[in-house]
Amino acid sequence: MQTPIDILKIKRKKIIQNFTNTTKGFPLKDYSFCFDNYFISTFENSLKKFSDNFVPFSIIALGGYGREEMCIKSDIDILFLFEKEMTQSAKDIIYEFVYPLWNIKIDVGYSVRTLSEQKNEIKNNIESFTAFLDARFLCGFSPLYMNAKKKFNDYVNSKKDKIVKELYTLNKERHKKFGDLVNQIEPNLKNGQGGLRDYHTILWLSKILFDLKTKEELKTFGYFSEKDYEEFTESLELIFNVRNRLQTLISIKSDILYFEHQKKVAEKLGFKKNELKTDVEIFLSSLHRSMESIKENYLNFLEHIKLPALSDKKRKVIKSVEKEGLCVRDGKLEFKSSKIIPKNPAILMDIFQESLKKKINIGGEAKKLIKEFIKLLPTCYENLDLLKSFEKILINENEDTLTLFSMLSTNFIPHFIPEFKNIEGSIQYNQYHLYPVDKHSIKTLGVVKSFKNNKEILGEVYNKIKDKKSLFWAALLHDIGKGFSKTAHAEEGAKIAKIMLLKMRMPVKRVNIITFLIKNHLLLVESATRRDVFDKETISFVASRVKNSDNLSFLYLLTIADSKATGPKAFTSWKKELLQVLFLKVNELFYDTDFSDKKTFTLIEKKRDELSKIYGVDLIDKMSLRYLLKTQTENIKKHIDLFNTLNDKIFVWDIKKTKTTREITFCSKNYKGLLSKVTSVLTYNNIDILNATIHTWTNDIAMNVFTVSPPPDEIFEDEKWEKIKKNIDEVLSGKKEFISKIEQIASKEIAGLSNISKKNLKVRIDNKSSSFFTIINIFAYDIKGLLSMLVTTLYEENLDIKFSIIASIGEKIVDSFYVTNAEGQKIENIDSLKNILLKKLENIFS
Amino acid sequence: MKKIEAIIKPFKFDEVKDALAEIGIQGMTVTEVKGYGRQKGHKEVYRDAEYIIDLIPKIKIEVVTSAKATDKIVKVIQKAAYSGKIGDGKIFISPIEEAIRIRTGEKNSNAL
Repeated sequence: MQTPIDILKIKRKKIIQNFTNTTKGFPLKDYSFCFDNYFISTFENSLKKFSDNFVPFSIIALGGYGREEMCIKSDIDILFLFEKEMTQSAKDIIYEFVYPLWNIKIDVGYSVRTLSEQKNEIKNNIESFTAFLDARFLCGFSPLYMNAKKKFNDYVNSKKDKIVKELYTLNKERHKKFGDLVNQIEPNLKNGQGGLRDYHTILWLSKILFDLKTKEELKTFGYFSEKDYEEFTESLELIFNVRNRLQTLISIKSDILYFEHQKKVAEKLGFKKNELKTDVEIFLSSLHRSMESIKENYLNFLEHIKLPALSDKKRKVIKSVEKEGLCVRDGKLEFKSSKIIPKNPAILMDIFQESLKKKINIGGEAKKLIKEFIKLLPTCYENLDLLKSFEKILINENEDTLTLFSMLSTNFIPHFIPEFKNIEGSIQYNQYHLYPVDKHSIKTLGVVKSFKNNKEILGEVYNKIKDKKSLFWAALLHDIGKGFSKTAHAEEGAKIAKIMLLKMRMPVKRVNIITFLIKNHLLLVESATRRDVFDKETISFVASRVKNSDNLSFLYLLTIADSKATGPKAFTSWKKELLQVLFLKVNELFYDTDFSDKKTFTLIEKKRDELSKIYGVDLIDKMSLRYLLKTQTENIKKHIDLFNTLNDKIFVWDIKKTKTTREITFCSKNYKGLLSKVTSVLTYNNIDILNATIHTWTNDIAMNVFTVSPPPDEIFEDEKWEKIKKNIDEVLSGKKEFISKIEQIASKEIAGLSNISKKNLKVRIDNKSSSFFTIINIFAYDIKGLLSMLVTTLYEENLDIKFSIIASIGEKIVDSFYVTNAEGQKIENIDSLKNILLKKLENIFS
Repeated sequence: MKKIEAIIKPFKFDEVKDALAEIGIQGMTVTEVKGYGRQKGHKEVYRDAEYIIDLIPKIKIEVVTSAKATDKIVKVIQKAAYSGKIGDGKIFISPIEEAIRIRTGEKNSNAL
């Protein structure tokens, strides 16, 4: 004959099998029922077995088992209730029940108590109290149960307020502890906001306050509207289903839906991907919605029951409002009557404005009405007055997103700005994004506004911005593209926002700024993390995309707010630092005298585009901004052609002749001391250097342009250039050096000068005009070899010359060198450099 | 067994990770760190106020491996993290006495 435990095993196995083979919810009640049968049959058997010295007792199901909501890994919560003391045989009887369950590895949480023990237990332990609140008599001596129940009810009635307050506080603390944050990525199905505990608390409160017996009675007695109840139970079903799927999957009792299990659970539940979203994203969105609905219903319920125990709030009491059609009830803003809404749908906007203005929360009843009547309200495209009112809320810096969040939860925003429907509750499946896109958008806006009081650089940037309206709109809409495109949400978002904003009749200039920000809202964060922020090319690249310092400020604020609103993992102090370096460096570039003209970057961008089409982006990206700015497109083309002939040669050059000068375009690898070596060869060969422009492409190619005097003997010019070429080959391959010879030439020249005055030898160092370079200006007499010697000194000081201009004024010259240190940064200790250079100058001319 | 610690530029991380995956290195510990070496901190100016950035953000990768594989891994990291500029970072190698897998208690090479 089958024993009760055998029957339980078979039934249990069947239920679990059925469950894993379908996507349907777990049969909570049937599962509980299996155990009911087990206890009842075992009780009957034990009656026979222990009939001689049987002590009467009751078996009572508690907690989830009592509610007939047993999940797959739930403990069996059982109370063995005795009248007075228990005997040894009573203990033996209990083992009859418990051992077989343990043997098949079911967790049994059983307590054995006498009536008086039970009475004390519920008073001293809130968990035992709530467990008994859900108690259900299973079998045994029923008068005992009735007795315990009566004592319990007496206790409840005498301490109602205290108990309610305790339950409420517990749940409030739980909400705080399992607050929105981490819980969003890896929801806690039981303790999280909108988790099962919220449902339990509703149930417990209604049992205590209204003596309800089941959750259905919440609807029957009007605590929930039909629609709310339907939504509520559907949400509960999903959460229970997820919980059981999760626990089957990991075979332990866990309520946290960890990241790594989310995909599997989504599959088990039968979620299917669509064009825009993966199965797991759709699953998480609907789980999130369900938990949100439980939470909403919980909060509404609290409001509805007007907890007497909770009237201890210290808040300025507002008793009335002026706005017609609105009133204050129990400290909350409400509609005077639902009838006025169809007559004047604009009141749906008024209530939010009033709530913000008077700092008074909108009541639960009003929220329900907003949801119900929202379809009557024109959208933002249909009524510009309403749009203006909305914008007022949007740009109000005192609006810390509370109003906008309630505009979201009442479906106001998704209706008013229809594009928002696409991102409503949309979850992004990764470890960074805590919030669904719609909430994240509003959160971003809130973070942007919070910069107002920031004491660091963010605050300064924020408060400098004049056009905050653009910034706020961009924050609200920056992720709108996520509802329309799976991959390129920034570009798609910019396109959609453009259409939206033009339909809102916003000025084109502002539309352009907002769409620019949306399109580039990832630029800074991507550049900071994927490129070298200490590399000039990164700075130039970002600058040429951003175009001016206003745009940069906007983007910086939006980027930080976006990262912060995404979640703590997305914004670490480490990342903050990278972004700050990038921001400061790019910003500095915009104040560089060469780049401060607003059109500069548009010009560079145009050139870059044109050249990229011919030579490919890779090569053009290697060129510096200054090079692109200062070199004509035609010349860049010539440079590239020359570069293409370099191959394995030591260097290649191109000499262009004019009447009075020669222009040498010189291309080689970037040898150490290249400039010092090449200029020494030129000077040694009697070639006067009039001007030198030095460019380094990042692939370590030097592209220098020298304007020089023609060789003294123009008849054999080509032969002369051949000889110079040979000399350069020799000097670059280390076979010869010319610098010592230059010093001899120079000293002869100096001997020919009359009246050398030290006053005319000057060194000026400028660290402000350029964001990338220290500019050294050297004033001296124009002698052959001077340039070569100066260049050599700079080389010996480990300075990198990036650019140089030589200007002769009569017999005097000014040589300007744009230099960096070996790390590519500006020189910090300019005084010591100045002294070194001045000494060198005085040496040369002594 | 050896521990290889590499401090690299943040933007080089993906390259290094991919290069290590290519030679079959599955496990590593990655930390976002800040520090300075020869690439010292620097000053930035915003609206006449100076902001000193003395600690530069870097990525630290730690791999524990058999002594035999060390050279190869170091070469791969060095190649992938190279940009030729100052601040490319450093690699440190140190001996490991013992390794234990917490779940199973397996030791040393079995625990890697």
